[in-house]
Amino acid sequence: MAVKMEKAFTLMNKTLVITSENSPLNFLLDGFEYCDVSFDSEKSLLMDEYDHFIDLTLTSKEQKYVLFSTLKHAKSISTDATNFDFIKAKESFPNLSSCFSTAFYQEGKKVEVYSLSHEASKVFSELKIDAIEVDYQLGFTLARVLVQIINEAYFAQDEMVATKTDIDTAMKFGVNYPKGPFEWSEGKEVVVAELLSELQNKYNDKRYEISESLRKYL
Amino acid sequence: MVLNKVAVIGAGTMGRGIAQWFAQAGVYVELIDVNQEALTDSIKKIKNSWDKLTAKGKFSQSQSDQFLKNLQAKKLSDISADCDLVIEAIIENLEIKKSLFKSLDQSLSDKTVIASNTSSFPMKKLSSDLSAHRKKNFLGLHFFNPATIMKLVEIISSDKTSPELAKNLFNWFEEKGKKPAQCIDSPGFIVNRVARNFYGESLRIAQSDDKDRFQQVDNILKECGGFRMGPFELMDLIGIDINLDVTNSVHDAYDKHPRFAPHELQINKVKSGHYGRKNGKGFYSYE
Repeated sequence: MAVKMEKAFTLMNKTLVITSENSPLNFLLDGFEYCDVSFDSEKSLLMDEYDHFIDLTLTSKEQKYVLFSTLKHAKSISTDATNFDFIKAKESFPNLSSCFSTAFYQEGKKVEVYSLSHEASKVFSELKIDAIEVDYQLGFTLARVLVQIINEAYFAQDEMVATKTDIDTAMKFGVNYPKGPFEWSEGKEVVVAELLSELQNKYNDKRYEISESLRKYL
Repeated sequence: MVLNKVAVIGAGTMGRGIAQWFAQAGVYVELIDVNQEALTDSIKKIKNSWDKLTAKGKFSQSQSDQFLKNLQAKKLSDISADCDLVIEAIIENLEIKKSLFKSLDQSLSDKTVIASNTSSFPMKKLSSDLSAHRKKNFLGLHFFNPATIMKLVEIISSDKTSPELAKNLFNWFEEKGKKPAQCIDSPGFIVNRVARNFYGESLRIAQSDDKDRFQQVDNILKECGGFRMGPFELMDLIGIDINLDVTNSVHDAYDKHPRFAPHELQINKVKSGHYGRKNGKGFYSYE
C-alpha cells in the first residue's frame, strides 16, 4: 500500500521532512528544497539515503502506521501525533523518537512537543517554530480542547441550530476565538474525528461521543 | 429595515451597554429601569464613557453631544408605544420576564418588535403568553459584554418568529458594524453551548487542584492556540460560580449529557467559596 504524501523536503543532510497538503506548516517550507521520493512500502530503498524523518503529515492513523512501516530502517522518526497514541505506536515502531502536535498551528504561535529529538529540534529551529516541552498525553492540550469545541460545533450544525458560517462568526466575535471551529477543522476532519475516537476509547466516556458529520471521517 | 426608536429595559451592565451602542449607532434610545437610582447611575456611566472616549479622540464633541441627545432615561410606564424595537435585559428570572412581555404586548404598537437579551431561557417559553401576532415579532437578541465593543449579536428565532424579521435584523446589525449570527431556539444558543468545552476539557486535562497545571494549560492555549486568555484565568475573571451556573444550565437542558457535565474541580471551588478574582481566590490567588 502506498502512502499518499504530497511533499518531502531536505532541510538538513540525512534528514527528510515529510508533509501533507493539509499541514498548516507548509507555508514555512516554501523556499526549501523539494525532494521527490517514493513512499511505496515495497520500494522503501528509495529513501535509504536518509537517516532521520520528520513527519508533519496530518493523515489517518492507518496511513501513519503504513508510513512508519515504510520507514522501519530509519534511525529516528519524529512525528505529528495529534490523532493517535504515540506511546502505543512506539511499542510497534521503536524508532519513533519524539512527537508533537501541529494540526492547529497558527503563524507566530508555538507548538507542543514531547521528547523532541535533536534532528526535530534543528528542523523546528530552521522553520523558526518555537516549541513548548510538555509531558506526553494523548492529543496534547490544545488539540484536546479544540476537538471538543469543534465536535460541539458539528453537533450544533447537525441539529441545524446554525450554519457553519454563523457558528464561526459567533465564536470569533462573541468570545474572541482566533478562528471559528469550522475554520480550524477544515481539511483536518479525519484528525479531529480520530482524536475524539481515541479519547473515547481511552476514557470510555460518552463526553467524547462523535457528532454524525464527523463520524463520516472515521 | 428602519429602527428609529428603541427601548432597552434593564439598566444593568448589559442593558447599559446595549443602550450605549444603539445611541452611538444613531438610534433614539429609551433606557428604562424600575430602580430609579440604578437608572440614573447608568446614564451617568454612559455619559462618563463618552466623555472619556471624546477626550481620547475616539469621538468628536459633536458626535458625543448627539449620542447624549439620542439617549433618554424613562420609567416603564412612560415607554413610547411606537418603539420599533424593545429589548429586555432584566434579571434572569423566567416569570418576571414573562410578566414584563405580557404587559408590553398589551401596551405597545402592533408593529413593535420585542426581543430578549436572555442567555438562558428558550424563546418559546418567554413568548408563551403573547398574542399570536406578537409571537411573530418576538425573538432573542443576545449581546455580549461589553456590548459597545463585542461585535456579536446572536439572533435567535423561535418557531413562531417571522423569518423575514430575523433576516432584516441580521442585515440591519451588519450595516451598523455588528457581526450577527442567526440561530434557532436551542439551549445555550451558539456561544454558550460551543464554548463549554473550552472550560470542560481544560478542567479534565488539569485533573487536580494544582496551580502549575492551570498555568500550563492557560499558557498552551494562549501561546499555541492564540486565545487571548486561558480557561482558568478566564473562569476566575467571569466568576467560577457564574461559569458553573451556565454549565449546569446547559447540562440540564441537554438531559445531563456527559459532553456538558461540570467537573468536580469547579464544583469544589464554588463549594469552598473560591469564586475567582471577585473574592481574591479562584484557580489562582489574588492577594
